[in-house]
Amino acid sequence: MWDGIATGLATVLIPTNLLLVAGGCIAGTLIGMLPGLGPISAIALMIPITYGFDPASGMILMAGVYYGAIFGGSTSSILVNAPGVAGTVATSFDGYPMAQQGKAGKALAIAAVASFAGGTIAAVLLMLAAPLLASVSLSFQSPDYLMLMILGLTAVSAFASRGNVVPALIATVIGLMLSTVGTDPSAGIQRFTFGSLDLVDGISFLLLAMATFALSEALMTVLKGTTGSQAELEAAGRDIGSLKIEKSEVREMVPVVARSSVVGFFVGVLPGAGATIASFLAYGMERALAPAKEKLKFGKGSIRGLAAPETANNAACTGSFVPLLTLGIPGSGTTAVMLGALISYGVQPGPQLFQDNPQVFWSVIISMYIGNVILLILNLPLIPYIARLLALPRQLLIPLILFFSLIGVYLVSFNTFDIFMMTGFAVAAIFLRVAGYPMAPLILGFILGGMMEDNLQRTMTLYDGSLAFIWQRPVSLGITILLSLVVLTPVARSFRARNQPK
Amino acid sequence: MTTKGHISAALILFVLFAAYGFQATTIPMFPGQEFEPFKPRTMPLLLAGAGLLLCVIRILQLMRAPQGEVRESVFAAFDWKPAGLLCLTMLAYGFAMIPLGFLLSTTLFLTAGFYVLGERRLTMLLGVSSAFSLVFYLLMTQALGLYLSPGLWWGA
Repeated sequence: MWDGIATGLATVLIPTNLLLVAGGCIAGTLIGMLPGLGPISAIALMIPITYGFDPASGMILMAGVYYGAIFGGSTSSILVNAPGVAGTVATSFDGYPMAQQGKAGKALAIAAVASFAGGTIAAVLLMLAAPLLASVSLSFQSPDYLMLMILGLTAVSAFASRGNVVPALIATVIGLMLSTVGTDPSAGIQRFTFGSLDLVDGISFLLLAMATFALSEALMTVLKGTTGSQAELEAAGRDIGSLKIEKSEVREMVPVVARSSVVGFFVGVLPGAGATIASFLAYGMERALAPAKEKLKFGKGSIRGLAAPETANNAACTGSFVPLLTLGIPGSGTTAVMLGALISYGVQPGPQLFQDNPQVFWSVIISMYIGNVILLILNLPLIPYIARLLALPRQLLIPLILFFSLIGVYLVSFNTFDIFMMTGFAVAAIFLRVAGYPMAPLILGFILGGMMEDNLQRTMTLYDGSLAFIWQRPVSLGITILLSLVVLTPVARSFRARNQPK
Repeated sequence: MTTKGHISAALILFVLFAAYGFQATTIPMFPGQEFEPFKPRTMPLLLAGAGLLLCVIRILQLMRAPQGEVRESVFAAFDWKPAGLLCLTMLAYGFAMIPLGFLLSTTLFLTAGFYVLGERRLTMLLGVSSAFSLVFYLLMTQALGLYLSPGLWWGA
């Protein structure tokens, strides 16, 4: 492990890579702060820029962007009560009341310190857990991977669905369907190309990610109208007050940060759970644990209420890298986009990554530390200036976001067909969003589709088309039991709710 | 969106899955491949089946849901006109990129985008878009050495 850490440090501490983390953190903060744009869009927008980079540098930039975007989301939550991402909604419960009391600077400082602590503790946990899980997962075979992918997709659907799993599962199937467009990898036969040469290589992951997230989120902002009044947004950019945190406040934060980091990390490791659930869980837990007097402060500007979700969401972001790096299976929409980026660099995450590309594996982990440090020492003092971005007129910002999304994809292929396809996908994504079908399972399905088909083919060939692997392989059996629990628990809950006397 | 709207959406998806499934049956196979446990059409057919089944469950769920259980969204309150116009602008941008060239098409795209979203000041409309397009063009072509279409109509 120490060799790995040394390799990671040697890679990350190269001046170019340090600049990339710093640039990524700032760019991520800027993008994450914009209402409607979250870490997925931020990372998707960065992918075309990183195409020429080596995989380690690309991932280092991405890690910086990821943390920056989460922090940017917290900033808009605190300053204008407009969370850029779902993971920072809980931050606004106590962050915004603090800003209204004239303590926006303090709230931002608490958020930054809590994020730093949460991210750092979780990075240590990741460093310990990832190699362990990677060595265990070396014994996995195709049937186990197949079941694991089905479990991951189902779990993401279950968590992304907010009550009704069916629309999320439909979105997953659409994503998987889109992954079958193009040349079949096993037989070389064209599928669903309708004779178009532009579709022979399939649909580009970047194109789909940009269309379903960056483009459709920007268009959804137009559909819904602006978030927060212009005057309110401009006020956010002016005065945020002192950034100083008192010693007594630090003492109050320490146990909260410790508890929330562990909760956040383990929730993040679970496929699909991610930062949103982690932040709400930590907020609820701290409110339950707080003394009666403190409990009353929750929702009115409590330091515990702000520190808990901020710590947990950053820890969960780090935790979500565990399944990505060790199994090659992303546990969230954001890590799914990162997986797509890694594949486009020619790196296949999974247990082999730990052995074949230790430089990438460890530099991602180390860049998380560095990213956290940079967020704290660079972003925090810059916040009063970065916050002015919130005052940028929406009518100028949205067309620029559309331009960057379109040109980001165009500059990779130099094919205008991609612009038409992106527009089509963005319109379809808006239709699906309005009808209640979430996008994260769709992109996850699309990214895992190829791998899933590959593993399905190997499994079917090995077992001659039989499903016997489910009970013949203990790992597959264990995953199938987990899968049944994920599927049946919400069904049982809704059945119980329906039969309860009113 | 109303319950009826949700059912219509599920029906559209049902038709989409059915069309996908039908198309999957037309995927060609090599001689003898039909006897193999896994064929190029296996996964698409499984997906079409899963999609159709889920759509049926969704429609049944919506039909059985008591009034008010389905969340009514702000569908009618959405500002569809500017979003639709922006989509058309994006399509026009795609068509204009090669014949007009990157510089002019981007300037026009940004100007149209700003205008659609309510910007009326001429300096902002033309000034920002042309300055931004020029800086971006120079950055890409001169600094990064990338090729961006100069425009077919100008004989370039």
